[in-house]
Amino acid sequence: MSQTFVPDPISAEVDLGLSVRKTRSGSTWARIRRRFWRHRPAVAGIVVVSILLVLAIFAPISALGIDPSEPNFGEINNAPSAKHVLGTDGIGRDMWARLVYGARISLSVGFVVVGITIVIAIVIGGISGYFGGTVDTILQRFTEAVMLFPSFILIITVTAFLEPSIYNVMIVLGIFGWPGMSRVVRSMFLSLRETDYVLAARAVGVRWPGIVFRHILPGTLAPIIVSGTLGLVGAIMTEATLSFLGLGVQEPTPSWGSMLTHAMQLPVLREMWWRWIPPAVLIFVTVLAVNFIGDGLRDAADPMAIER
Amino acid sequence: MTGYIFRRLIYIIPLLLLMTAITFTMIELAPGEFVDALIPPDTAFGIRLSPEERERLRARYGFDKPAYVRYFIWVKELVVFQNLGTDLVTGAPVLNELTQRWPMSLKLQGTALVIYVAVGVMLGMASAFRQYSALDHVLTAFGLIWISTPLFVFAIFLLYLFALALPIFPVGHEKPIGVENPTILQSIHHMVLPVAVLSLTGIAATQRLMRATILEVLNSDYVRTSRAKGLRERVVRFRHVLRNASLPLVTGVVLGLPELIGGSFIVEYVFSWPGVGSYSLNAALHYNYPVLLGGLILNGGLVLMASLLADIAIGWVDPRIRIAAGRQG
Repeated sequence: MSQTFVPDPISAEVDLGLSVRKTRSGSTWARIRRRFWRHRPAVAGIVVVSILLVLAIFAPISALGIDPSEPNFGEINNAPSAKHVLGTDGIGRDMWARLVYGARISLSVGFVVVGITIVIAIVIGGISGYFGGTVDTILQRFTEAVMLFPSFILIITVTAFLEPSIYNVMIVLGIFGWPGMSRVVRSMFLSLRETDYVLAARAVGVRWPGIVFRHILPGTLAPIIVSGTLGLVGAIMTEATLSFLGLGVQEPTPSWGSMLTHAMQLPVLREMWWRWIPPAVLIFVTVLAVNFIGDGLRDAADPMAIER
Repeated sequence: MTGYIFRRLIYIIPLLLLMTAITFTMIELAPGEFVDALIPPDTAFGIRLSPEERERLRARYGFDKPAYVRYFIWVKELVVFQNLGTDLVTGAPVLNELTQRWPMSLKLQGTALVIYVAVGVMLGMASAFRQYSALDHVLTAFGLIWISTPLFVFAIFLLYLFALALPIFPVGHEKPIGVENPTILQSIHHMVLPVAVLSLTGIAATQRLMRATILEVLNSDYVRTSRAKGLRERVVRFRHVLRNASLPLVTGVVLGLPELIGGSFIVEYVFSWPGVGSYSLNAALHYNYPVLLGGLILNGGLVLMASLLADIAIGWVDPRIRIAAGRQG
């Protein structure tokens, strides 16, 4: 049935993990959780992301009550001081406030994109893996095509024409982000539909919606989450890139990427470190933290590692 | 095998058509239009297009025809006359503009590709053959740091470090200002930073992929067998492990190509490199869609051809796939 000519290292890795059957379903999640908390970088990642989430959610408070979009032409390009912890930008806006509100943008774009991605990936990967045959072949070819296409060109084309905005960025990134995850879902469906408990469910007369939603889908959850962290990383990085290029979130809304656009002016880059190092570091730290979480989850969800 | 190659070749064409059609549709759905970008509605001097003038302009650029008609015209021109339309801003044929700039982009992308595959493979090998050693930990940590840095952040940091703080390399462009025919050394001098940026993320990705694959192969039965029958470790590694690990590498490199092309767009933008990327980005900001579609066809075709070549190479090397493909057609 499976006609994977091309070995795909990434999905193969996840594939290995989940085709092993669990004897007690309740214990699987407990074991994943236990193993995850032992992974120190992953715990550090969770801490960092939680801090960012708190800062972002309570932005009005954590920005010390400063409006991030209010220009103040009396205080242009001020270095960090007691009044402006991280200085001010080219039209006198407070950098700390902009960073905090920028976290809102980055994280919300990230999570919404992953949400869209998961829905598309489950639909396409699920149909492909559950029904197999011609449907599978067509959908796989389509997935490969989307995967191979230089989607960055499509993304800049579409965001440029759709009037750059945060919502358009979310939709476009979601539309082009699903192929990797859908392959994971497909391979999970392929292996899970052959399991004994699915056979048993079918034997007692459960129809396909019941089998898909009650018996197969829950089993695909762990690899979906792992692959979702990768999607989160990709979405945060691409949003920053698009905003950097002026095709994403628009002024005066603060975004880490668009803050870095100004670093392209050589005087800013040379003399005003507070205008570009903080957003650059924040992007890096956020992405690194999510990557750590992803690595931890992957190790925790990998039953091969348990044998060691 | 020939049948297989032929079918794959045929299948590239509908894919390119599908992708351009999707792009065309999205452009059509978007509220903005090139004509409006010519004179923004809120220009400072109060210049405004009257509705009649606007219609005249639209007719001149061909926007008065329905979208599907324009798409068919575009496809017909491409297939029959090898014409990609004209740049809406300069009026020059897009094909000329693109072929003029493409070598500059390929120079960056090609150099970066060679560097990151070579370095990435070596680092991945070093990491995997000494799993859990200090070297492995350091390399793994660096790999994670490298893939966690968006390309443009890298570019900005390198620009700051090596062009401003330590002015060793130029801040941009392909040759010194005012020089018509740069020497090879001058060209290389200008290429160092962009290529470095473009390579770093690729090195990390290749290294991580290579490490994972080698570790998987090392656990396989045939490696255990070859060790058990007393082969020297060097023979095991180079003949059995690396050969098998090279197949996923080829696939991984091909899957990384779209990212390489996207990355070169950003690098060209940051370093003012006169390639297809900076040209297309500029076009995106001006609703200049013939240029964008041209860039899409060019790069899409390149990646799809590369993936076809990779599949053929894999099929040729790997007997399991050769047989499966042979059975198919």
